[in-house]
Amino acid sequence: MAERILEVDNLCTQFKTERGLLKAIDGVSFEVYRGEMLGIVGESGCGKSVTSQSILRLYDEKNLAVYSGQVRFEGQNLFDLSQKEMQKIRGARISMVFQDALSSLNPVFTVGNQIMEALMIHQNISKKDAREKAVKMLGMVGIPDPEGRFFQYPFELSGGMRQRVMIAVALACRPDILIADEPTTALDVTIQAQIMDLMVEMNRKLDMGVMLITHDLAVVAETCHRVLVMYLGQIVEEGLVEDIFDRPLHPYTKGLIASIPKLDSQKGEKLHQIKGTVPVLGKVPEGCRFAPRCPYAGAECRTKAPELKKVNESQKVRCHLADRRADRG
Amino acid sequence: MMREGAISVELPYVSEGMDEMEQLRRSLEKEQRGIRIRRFTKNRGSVFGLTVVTVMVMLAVLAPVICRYDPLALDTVNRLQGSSPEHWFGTDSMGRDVFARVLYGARISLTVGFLVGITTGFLGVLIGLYASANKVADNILMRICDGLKAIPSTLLAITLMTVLGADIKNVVISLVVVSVPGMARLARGQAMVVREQTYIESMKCLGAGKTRILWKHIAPNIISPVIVQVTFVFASAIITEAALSFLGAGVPAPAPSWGNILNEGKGVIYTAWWLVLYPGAFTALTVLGLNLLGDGIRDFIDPMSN
Amino acid sequence: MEDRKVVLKGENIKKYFPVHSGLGKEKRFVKAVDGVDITIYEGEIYGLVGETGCGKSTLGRTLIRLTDPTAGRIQVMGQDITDMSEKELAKIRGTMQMVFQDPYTSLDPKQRAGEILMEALEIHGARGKSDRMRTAMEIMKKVGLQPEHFYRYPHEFSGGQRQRVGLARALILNPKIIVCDEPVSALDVSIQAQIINLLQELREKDNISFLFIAHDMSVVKYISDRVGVMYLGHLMEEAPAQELFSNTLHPYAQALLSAVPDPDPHKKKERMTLVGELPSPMYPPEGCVFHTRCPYATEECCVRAPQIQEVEPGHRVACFRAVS
Repeated sequence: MAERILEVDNLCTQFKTERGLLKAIDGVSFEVYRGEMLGIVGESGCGKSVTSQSILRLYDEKNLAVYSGQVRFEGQNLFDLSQKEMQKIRGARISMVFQDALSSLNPVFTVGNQIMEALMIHQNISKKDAREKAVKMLGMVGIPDPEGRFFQYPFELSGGMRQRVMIAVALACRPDILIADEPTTALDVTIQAQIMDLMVEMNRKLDMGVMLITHDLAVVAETCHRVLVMYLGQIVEEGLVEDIFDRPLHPYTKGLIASIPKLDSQKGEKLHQIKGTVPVLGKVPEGCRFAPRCPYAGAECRTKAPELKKVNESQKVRCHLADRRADRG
Repeated sequence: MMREGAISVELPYVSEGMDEMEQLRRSLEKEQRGIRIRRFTKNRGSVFGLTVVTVMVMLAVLAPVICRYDPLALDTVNRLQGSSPEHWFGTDSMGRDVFARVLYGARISLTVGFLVGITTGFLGVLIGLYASANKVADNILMRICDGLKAIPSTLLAITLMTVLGADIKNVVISLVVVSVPGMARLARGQAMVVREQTYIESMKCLGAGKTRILWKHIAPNIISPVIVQVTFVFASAIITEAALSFLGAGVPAPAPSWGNILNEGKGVIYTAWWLVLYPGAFTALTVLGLNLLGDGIRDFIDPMSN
Repeated sequence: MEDRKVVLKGENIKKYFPVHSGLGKEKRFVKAVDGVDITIYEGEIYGLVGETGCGKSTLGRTLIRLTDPTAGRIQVMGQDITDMSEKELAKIRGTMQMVFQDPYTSLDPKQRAGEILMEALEIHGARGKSDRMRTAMEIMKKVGLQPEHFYRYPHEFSGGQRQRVGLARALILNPKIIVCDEPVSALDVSIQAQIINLLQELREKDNISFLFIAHDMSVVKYISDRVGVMYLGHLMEEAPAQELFSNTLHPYAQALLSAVPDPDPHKKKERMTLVGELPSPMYPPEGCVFHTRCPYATEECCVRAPQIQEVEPGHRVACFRAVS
């Protein structure tokens, strides 16, 4: 495969809470390659957003978060850098798009201004050049009449347009990695389709690694090359999109896929449901974390925590029973 | 969503016996109370506030037991004495024991503060809720409140005292008049926010009447900011009372209040500083304690706030 | 189809919200719902889809008179409720209930789950605390809650459990129709499946009708018997679910359908991507409201508004192209 641009190695993020340290992420390791779209899926509380925010070290390290493990980007561990050096990476080399574009854009500046600002912080260019570039960016993300929109404020734009502006801000400095955290969750399906098309197009055009964080498996199936499935702060399955959707090995992945209502479903057919709810972080079950909700769980699952094991060329799974089922096909 | 899946215990459907349910309710209430108390005690400020306020109240209540002197007993021989084993806080210009006066003063100051706080809270909620429910009344009531708020509060209180005459009861009345507008505005504002919540709409959907919605669903949901505000009003009533007494428009002499002890002390501040120091310190400490306690109470009663 | 009992019927429902403008300016309205006819039969799930701002929630609320219609008539169980006073309405509220979208704001944070349910009974005159409690417990069991949840406060529940409480509250008065306003869109997929299955069970067991409002076509297809598609305050297409999804006639419904992502990585389908965005409901386009975004719009569409008409039994559509 292509060049490896980001390596996350045994990342753990713990939060300081009134009940002591809570492990939000527990030993997450993965790589991001240039030019790929990597989907990270899971339900709320699985740690998918925490993972992305930890990569950029966005949590307050004094009062809130304790990181361990390594995040290697261009040969250096991001956790070894000072906050100043981190700032040079954030937004320029690794940038981020958030779910809520309205609260992520500053309401008192025009959208053009915000793109210019992103450029002028990281690149030593004149105001005039920055303006030119900003207009170009607006055009690139598919905003009609970029010169006119340049002077508009975020509240004057619709949700879809705002998300496009967010993407323009994030891409202004041509980052190597774009982290998109639920970029379409707040949008309507027709707008979601537009934005996802744009993401795919940008991914191809700019040859960057995109990490798409979402709870929507269908979006991942349509756009991503590789997928990580997370549950309770751990990766439970990793593989190519085809692996995950054609041959899911982890019972959680299977359950998730089966519980999506599909357009070609038959009426009256019962939706698959995963029993129970995601436990709270403080009460992580012993053994396999999914065992209490797993229909196949045996005695071993309740006592011994499984490792993330490679089962074939492209697929890894964290399940004691996976080998047996993989044989069965 | 750290809260997600807070409950995962699977219980069998035991008989719907009332006794079991009653037991369940008790154990859950105990657990919920435990969480509230833990939340309260976790904040050192509120524990400090509670301690200060409790100590002040104890001192005030037990004043007759603690004090060896009558706060009104004159002793012209021992005027303006510094602190001594006899008179811990010294004596004032008429030879009265300052310790006794400060403690008895606490009785008056705390009573005034408490009454003002409670009455203001009650009236403010009443007016605020009514205004939130009725547009015409809203306009009239809120304009009156604006009018009252436009006059500086101490000035308004002094004017009222002049009209009503110096008396403890009148101090309470005028301080309530001064602080009700703020409370009413707060209650109205909160009620307006709560009124827009979906759970209010859901009550309408169940066929609940306006009165039920107002008292059973809006009122309980505005109570925590109101109680916090009550502690602030309590504290500021003590200060304003002190200010009024300091200006001679408050609790009439010879009854001691922290304000009029200060007032008497101001003339002799260079020779007998303790006359100003002790009532001043008590006032400051109590006000600080009350403000800290207010935050603690909010943590205690509001299970949602984090 | 026609001999089935009608539970709810709305005729030419309009709901305009006045917009406050400066003095002397012409008074403007947001036409949230602009002339919708809708009928819901006994024991059916009617799925209402559309994008944000299309008026689907407003229509749902208007139909059970949580807001008053600007025009039109509403019948519930054959009874005209359009001009009923609040007092009269309160009496029949039990027959029409609602489940709200956000399970985090739709429960009173100061009430325990059991109290919420018992209060509903109390409002409707159920006597005896222990009877009310028993009924509340039964309903909780029905929606899959445990007895120990009875004394829990809403903030102690997860999203799915809260939505179950909301559903229990709607069910406890034995309603004939429940309006569900995006009841699963705030929930995780696995929890969403639990709630959808629960709704279907209830329909089968208790013969309750549902107006299921959603923006997600796949959920609607999954659960509904009949489906209506709304756009900018108008009903664009309505048909039995199978028919609507196999023989989609209105271009907007087609676009909505094709925008749904498919959880199958091998199906790289051709999308019919809509251009532009939803026009402001304050200034809806002349003619057909969809013509500004419609790939097939003709001159006629720009000047004349198509009326919704039946093209096949039970299949109605508001489009010149589809009708001809």
